[in-house]
Amino acid sequence: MNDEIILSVKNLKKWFPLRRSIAEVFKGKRKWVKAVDGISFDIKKGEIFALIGESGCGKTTTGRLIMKLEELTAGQIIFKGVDISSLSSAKDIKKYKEDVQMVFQDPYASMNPRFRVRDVLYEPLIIHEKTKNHAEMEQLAVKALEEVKLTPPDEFLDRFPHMLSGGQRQRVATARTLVLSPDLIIADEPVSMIDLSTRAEILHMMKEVQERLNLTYLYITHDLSTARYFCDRIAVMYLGRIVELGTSDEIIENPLHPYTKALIAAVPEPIAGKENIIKDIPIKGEIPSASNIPQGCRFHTRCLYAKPICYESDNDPELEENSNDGHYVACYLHKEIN
Amino acid sequence: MSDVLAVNNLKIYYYTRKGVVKALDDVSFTLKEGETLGLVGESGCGKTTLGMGLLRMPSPPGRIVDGEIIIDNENIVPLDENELRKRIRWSKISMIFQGAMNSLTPVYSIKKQMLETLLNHREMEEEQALEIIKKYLNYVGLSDDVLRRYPHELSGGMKQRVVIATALFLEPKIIVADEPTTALDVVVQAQIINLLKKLKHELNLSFIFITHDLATEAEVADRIMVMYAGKIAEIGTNSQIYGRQGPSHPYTKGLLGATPKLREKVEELAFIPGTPPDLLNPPTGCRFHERCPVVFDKCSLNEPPLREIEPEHFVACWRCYDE
Repeated sequence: MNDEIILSVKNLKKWFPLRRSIAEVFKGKRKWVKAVDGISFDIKKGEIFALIGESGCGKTTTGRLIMKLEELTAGQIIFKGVDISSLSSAKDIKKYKEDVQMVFQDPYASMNPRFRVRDVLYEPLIIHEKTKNHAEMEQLAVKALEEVKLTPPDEFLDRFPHMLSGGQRQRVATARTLVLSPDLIIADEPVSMIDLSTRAEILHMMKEVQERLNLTYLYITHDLSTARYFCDRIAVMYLGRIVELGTSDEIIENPLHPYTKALIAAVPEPIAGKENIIKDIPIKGEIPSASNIPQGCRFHTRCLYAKPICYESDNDPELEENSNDGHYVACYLHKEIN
Repeated sequence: MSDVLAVNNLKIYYYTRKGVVKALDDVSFTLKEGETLGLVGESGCGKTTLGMGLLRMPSPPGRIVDGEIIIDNENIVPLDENELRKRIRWSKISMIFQGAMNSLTPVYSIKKQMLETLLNHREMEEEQALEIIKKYLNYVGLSDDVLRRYPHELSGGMKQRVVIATALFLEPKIIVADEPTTALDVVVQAQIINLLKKLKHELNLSFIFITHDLATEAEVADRIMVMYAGKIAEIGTNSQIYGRQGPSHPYTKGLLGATPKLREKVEELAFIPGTPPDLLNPPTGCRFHERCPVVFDKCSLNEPPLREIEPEHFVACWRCYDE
């Protein structure tokens, strides 16, 4: 890994408009669900970067924005030095979508049941007009299947998705991204629907492919345990903002933000002797709605340390580096509580 | 401690067009009073089939083919449906369903659906029933306020609490909880697990806690039962399975090795090669032998019986006992 930055996200926002009542329309009031509300991060070439958070924190929306499946409300997404909002011609957008590929969560829903594996793998080649030659297509498909360890490839090419296990489908989904030789792969919960005994095998395969082809992954997940094993750096999201960012080991072993601390405390572990212990989870209340975000630090309603500065200030705390170690935290009190 | 539930040689088969799927094949175990028995396995291993079977409601085309389910010294398998509904189901054994948040009707208020359940089972005045419902809502940490609400107004955790209260208010002693925390966020998941543990002690309940996640199981279960392809692979206490010595069955070992541990830096996670067998044509001998790292000739020929290798520790593996 070098320090070349492949993707840079700057103050990214995605607000979804809410339906308004007639009275609100006349008053000119607008209401928004602020799914992503000003996040910034850089992904280096060749690294595995994780976005972690609970459901509704905006991690999937971020992935979709980068993939250009949603239009951003504000901010910039810069891929290899080019702002992707400025891509206007269909040709440029197509080229971008060739370089950035996505693996979806549900391997059962993300594949056309009437397509054979062959067709699944040919489709991107046809759409992106890579080749019209069938022999060449087959060659590329076979190579991709070999990369994801579906061997012998000939045996799989003519199968339908229903003839594959969940793990095998997710391998095909990965192979489908690889036929276009992308630079960045966005993997949105790629293993959460896969059985535990094969989950590690899939992660292992993805990591191997990443190292061999020098790929970059954006790994979107709610699962801290697999993220620690799989990722180089982790960004923790809460209600549309990044609250903490650092190397995986730092985040897990030395969490600075109260939310990260609560998340880590809540993760179950396969260790004996805890069956009669009531666990202490340092967080209170429930997650507020993204259409009604608390003033000040948006975590203050759940924080056990909150002080007036947290709820009286006008803005959320900005991410700041803890001590020149690449570990960033967005908390007004992080110096006090750590 | 006495047994509140005993299952003897239970067989549940699905009669499909393609043939008979032996989803649960000759399973026997007991549940002690006040204990949580964890039931772990991959999808398709028969854990949900077993859970539903215990309430005698296997989902069609499944049928209980053979065996006994003994609750309070009474075998409930031969009982007729009416009697079962009146005396056993929900009053002696109840269930928290998988994806409980979807087991509430979106068009009824919480009050209406909870009342309906209670009044269907017990003859009482509505006011009296409401008192009971409020008592149990308080037990699970909800205010009476939720009664007026509809499911879409509640968060996932609150819905799960409503479902737990509904499973409790006929005062059953046995609760089957099928993946009660799987669809929840990790913080809510931990809160629900805390709640279930608290209820277990306060109300002296016995739980069968079904999940695919060995890490969650370690935090709730007194004993763990591991299933593979419709059979029990191993039963052991929490310390036998998760303690230093570790489990005995190669499948349990594999599963535990594949479970990522947050507070431990691992370079490489283990995994079990292959996929679970097709239960239409289960392999001969030990059902795990095709994926087993320590397989030997006997494994594909004879099926290993479930044997006690030390007190309270049962294993079905030819490698784990002599003979």
